[in-house]
Amino acid sequence: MKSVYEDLIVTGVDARDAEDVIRQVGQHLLKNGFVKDTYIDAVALREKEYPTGLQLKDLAVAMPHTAGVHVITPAVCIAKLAHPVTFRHMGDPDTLVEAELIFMMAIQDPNAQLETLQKVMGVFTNEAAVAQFKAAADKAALYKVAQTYIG
Amino acid sequence: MVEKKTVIQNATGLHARPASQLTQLCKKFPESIRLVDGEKSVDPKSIIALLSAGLKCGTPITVQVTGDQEEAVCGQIVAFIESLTE
Repeated sequence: MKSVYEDLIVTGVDARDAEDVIRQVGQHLLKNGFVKDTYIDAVALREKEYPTGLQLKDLAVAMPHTAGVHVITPAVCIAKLAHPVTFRHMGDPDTLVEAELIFMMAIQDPNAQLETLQKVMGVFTNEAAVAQFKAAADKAALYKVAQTYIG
Repeated sequence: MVEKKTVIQNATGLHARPASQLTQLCKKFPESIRLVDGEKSVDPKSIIALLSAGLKCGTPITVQVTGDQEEAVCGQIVAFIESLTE
């Protein structure tokens, strides 16, 4: 199942906090017709109760998402932040991470969530992949890496 | 070591929300914990390892706990997994 679209590759997101990241990045999913207008608020709300920050070896990321009722077409919006933004850790909400890369997921079928998460985890556990995501200097490079590892 | 067998019962498996809750539960315990699914053995204190394992509905798993309160901890973890509904 296709998850990566050129219109959903974003760089230079200048955000003040996690909610601002979600609202800015979510706009790309919304304006390109992948999600309903309820999606962004739902993601922001979910992140407060169930944070999605993760600390990898050399990079922190976040993967905000919400229930499938807010989604029109499944996709992953990948955003590089202009500067790190604090997210709470998924496995330990008392721990904070400084996320530089965001994988905002629009998953429509709840039964497909696990598969999508596994695909994204496959990136996070692959040091070479993480290095390539980190090194991607522009949208074109980021899109190419995302297509390679997420598809 | 104590081990108990169970099955992932909720329809969507150990996706983000239940996986986060399971990791947070397991991290409260000093005991060593593993979830064994066939050949795979996962440390549920690592959310990345847990999500990478992709434990779907219907997957039989064995919860293995080693430590002072291994019996009680194993019971709590199995009870949590069996309580999942979404």
